[in-house]
Amino acid sequence: MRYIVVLIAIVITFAQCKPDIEMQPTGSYDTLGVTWMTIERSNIIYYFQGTGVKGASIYSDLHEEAYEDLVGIFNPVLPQKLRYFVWTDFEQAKGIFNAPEWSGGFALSKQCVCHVRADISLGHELVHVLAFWADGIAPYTYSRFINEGVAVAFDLEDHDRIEWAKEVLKDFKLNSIKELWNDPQDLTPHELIYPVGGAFMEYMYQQSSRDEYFTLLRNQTITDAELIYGKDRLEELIRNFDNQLGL
Amino acid sequence: MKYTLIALLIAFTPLCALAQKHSIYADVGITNVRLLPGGSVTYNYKLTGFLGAGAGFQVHNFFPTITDEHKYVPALYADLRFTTWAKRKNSFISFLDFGWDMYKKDNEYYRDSTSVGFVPHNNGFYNSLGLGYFHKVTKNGGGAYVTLKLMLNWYNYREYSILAEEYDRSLLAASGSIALSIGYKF
Repeated sequence: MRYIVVLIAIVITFAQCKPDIEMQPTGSYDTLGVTWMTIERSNIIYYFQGTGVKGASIYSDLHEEAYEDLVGIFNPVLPQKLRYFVWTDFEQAKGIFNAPEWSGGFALSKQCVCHVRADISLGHELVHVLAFWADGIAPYTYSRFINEGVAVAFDLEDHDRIEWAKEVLKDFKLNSIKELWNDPQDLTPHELIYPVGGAFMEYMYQQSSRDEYFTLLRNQTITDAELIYGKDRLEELIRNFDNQLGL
Repeated sequence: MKYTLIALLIAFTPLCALAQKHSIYADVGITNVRLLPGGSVTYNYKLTGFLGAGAGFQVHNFFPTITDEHKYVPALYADLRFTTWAKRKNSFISFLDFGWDMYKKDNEYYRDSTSVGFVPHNNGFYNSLGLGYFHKVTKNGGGAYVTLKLMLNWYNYREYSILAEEYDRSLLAASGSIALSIGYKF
């Protein structure tokens, strides 16, 4: 009996000393000319362009946590499990997908797929997918300003988005954020639309009811927003925000 | 600030008047991290005409590691101090400090394009190198000074590669900042 007690004590001691759970690869997958190391977790299936198990395991821990945080905000209902491709050579991805030179990742929201460089913000590409499927309803209309704005607003980075936008605006001439919102050709430089859009969507989250905000995510043009908020209220919201940015 | 200096003056002047071999350097300054204030107090024993040794305590605001936010970090250190033209009214000082930075690490991960890493331990090894200008005010060697010092916190950093396990490594890393200080030698 006493040996059993000692044995149990040893097992408990070692169980307590066990290091962080290390996720083992669940397989491999060949696509896009790469053999990916896959790790399937409860929220996301990860595809790593590499074989570093401990690094990939920690990386997936961080993104599972991020996903859980964002689920509380977006209440997403995805048609399939999110697939997250982590490139250690993103130049290769840019070539395959014809992505812009400055980009560090992109999401194919409808297909629930993200392709990222390993060091981009935890939340940005996740938000593209989770916001797209917020409440299980895909957007009807699209605006780059709103779409990128919400991804920056909830990217889980700890920075002052208003200050960032103000800093960037020193290098650009802008009279009102309406000029960024009304940009059907998507001609606004990315250096401007990300920070200003992020600050605006953070501001709108604070000023809106949940219903208004998520209706805006599904109906993203400025004309849609006039119907959601009412023309006068939207004008006031935009004017206040422009004033915050010093426009 | 004024009252702090007066209190230090009252506290340390009698001690230093007894023996010119003993002195206290007390200063306040700012670091290059958002120009936040800090300060240090260093006891010094004069070994030769130009060389002294001692110990001190400081608190300055900086980023102690790659994963930490900037924060106030107290440090205890041993000090070696060199004075040029020590007998003149104006002289230059330089000093080298080694010691212990005391902080609780943030449990954050750092990511780059091929790896993730973290800082496994609290606290770090403190090291600084400084230069300054000293102006003697009192007969027993007291006076005002201004210094510029480079402060380094040395710490262990573990990096895990996504690329391949053979690139996993444990590194000795340093995080640095610069402090500009004004002070008084008692």
